[in-house]
Amino acid sequence: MKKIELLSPAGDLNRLKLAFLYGADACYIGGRDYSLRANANNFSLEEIEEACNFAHKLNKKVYVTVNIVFQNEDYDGILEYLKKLERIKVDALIISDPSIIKIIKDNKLNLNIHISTQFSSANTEVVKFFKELGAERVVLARELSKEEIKEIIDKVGIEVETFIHGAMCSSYSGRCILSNYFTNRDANRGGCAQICRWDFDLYEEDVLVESDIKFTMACKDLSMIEHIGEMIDIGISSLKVEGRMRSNYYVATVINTYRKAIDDYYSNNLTNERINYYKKVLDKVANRDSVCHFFDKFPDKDTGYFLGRQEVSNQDFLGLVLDYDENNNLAIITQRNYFKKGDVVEVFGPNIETFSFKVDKMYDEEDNLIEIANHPEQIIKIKLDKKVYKDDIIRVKI
Amino acid sequence: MSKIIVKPNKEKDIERIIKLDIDGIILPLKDLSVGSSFFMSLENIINLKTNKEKIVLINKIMHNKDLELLKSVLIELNNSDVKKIIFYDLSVYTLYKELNINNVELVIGQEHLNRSINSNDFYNSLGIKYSYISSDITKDEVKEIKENTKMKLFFTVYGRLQLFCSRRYLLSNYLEYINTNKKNCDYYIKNNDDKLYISEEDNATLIYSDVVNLINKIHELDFIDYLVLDFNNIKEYEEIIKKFKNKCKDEKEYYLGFYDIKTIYKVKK
Repeated sequence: MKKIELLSPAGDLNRLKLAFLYGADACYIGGRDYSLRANANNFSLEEIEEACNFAHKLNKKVYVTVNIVFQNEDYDGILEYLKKLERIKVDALIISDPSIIKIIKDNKLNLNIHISTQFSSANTEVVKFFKELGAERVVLARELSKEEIKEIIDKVGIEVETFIHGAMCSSYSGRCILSNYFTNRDANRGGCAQICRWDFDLYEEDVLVESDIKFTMACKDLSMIEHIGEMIDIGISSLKVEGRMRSNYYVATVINTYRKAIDDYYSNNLTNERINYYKKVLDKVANRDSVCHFFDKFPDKDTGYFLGRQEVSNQDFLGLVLDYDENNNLAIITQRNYFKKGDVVEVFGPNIETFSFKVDKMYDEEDNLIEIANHPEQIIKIKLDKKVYKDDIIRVKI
Repeated sequence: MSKIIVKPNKEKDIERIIKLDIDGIILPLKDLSVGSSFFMSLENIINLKTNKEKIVLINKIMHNKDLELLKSVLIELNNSDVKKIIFYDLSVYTLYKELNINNVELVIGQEHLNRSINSNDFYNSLGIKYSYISSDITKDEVKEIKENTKMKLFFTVYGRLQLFCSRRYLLSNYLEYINTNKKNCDYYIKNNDDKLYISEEDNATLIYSDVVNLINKIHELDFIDYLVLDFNNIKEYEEIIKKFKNKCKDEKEYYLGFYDIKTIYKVKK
């Protein structure tokens, strides 16, 4: 049985490398054009090539999003771009506009095709259509139950990818142009201004519905950590984490957590206790509540996000390990958020079991003893008897 | 010359509308369409007697549980006087092919997903000859599509544009959350000056724009094959239909939607 793929977002090369380091099997990235996150940094062609080379050396994969819904002028340069992606040997393109498949086929380009969730493929017939058109994989609509996903997999026999974590569109993907209407930014070409997260007054005819809580279309984020086993069992090929614009810390934490959960499941070690712990880790890194949405039941009032814009920025990321001085038992880190002597913190990383410790002695770069770490990017040395490794992360204890 | 196609606000308006000087009528099919203020049973659609072109709307995103119904609907429509089906989900196309439907024409109506020459060419290469063109591109872009494809185009010239379509019951969920009962009335959401119609149906929650009215642009739209007047949530229709039929411009300023407003997608370099 082929092991399920853990697919990570990567907004830049740094995050891509971190995602692979922390356990992703594949990363999806956007180029500078044709990608649905127009305002992310995105990758130049040189960076895409570097990403592919880096991934392939690790026997991992890179998928490139070409998932805008094209308008006439957007086709300028697309063939040349696709040819370059073919030469670079990207592992697949994620596409939402079928006209791009036609260009790929007409020009006999050797490119694997994944159909984006933007197309909202929600039934056996449409998935079969894309299989016959030559797609290798379909990213299903986010509105499907477990039974619906299983039926599609069983009946069509194609790779199926589903989301497991991150922010959700409250509309069917591709069927929302609120951003176009309110801000003139084209949602289907990567300009989405997230109008679904705005607050609105609700009126019954001309009468305001009185409430302290405003109407919003926003829904809570997705978290499928409690259903990993079921997702593997029904034959999903790839589990996708949303968030090409998320931070290094978010990517490392979420990927590391799902990596462990998946590996635990395959080795029969995914106990309820572990799931609860992973859930706690994921809840801590998120700045919004998360639920399961359509997979196990139809979304009810508790899946709506009616709390207003109370999203808090996460300050759990305390530092990134740069090196470990084995002679003096010192972890050399770069600081990210405030912490001080006496704090109990924990370290996690791709090659260590997560452990906690109490910050005792720490020094600045000139070896002066310090009691607080309050300068972002400051180089700090922390006395730590247990060995840690480059790119391990120090965070607030879960 | 462009044909005038009307999507009614209520089923009871249909008898009156088909007596007006129009060319066709859009009939939203119960259980398989979204975004209408009424839905008709297949029986009522088939039994509707008119010499106007009957066009059935089947624009729901299909789930597997819908496919058996969809098959039986396609077979029945093939044996009826319905001329066209406006569809969103490609399962309609695949089943249409599988069932060898040949008495009804397909109109690809994917709202915001089909808005270029190339994508229309793609659907045309599948044998689809009609396209209900996206509401979020400009007139010039629509014209480019018309001039560079073989598609015959439908285009909304009057009515509310669909801005948002969710599978979720967003109104019910919110009202339940604030312990308020949902009433049998029209709902609107408001943010600053924008007041938008929101409607919750059995299969979706939808949000619509202000009413687009292109009557004063009508002389620029001769290239459109089917001008659609969509009266969803709009009570008065007779005068509007007459004005479009007779190309009666007036002095008023109307909301034009994206007719001449090009959207952007890169906020920064």
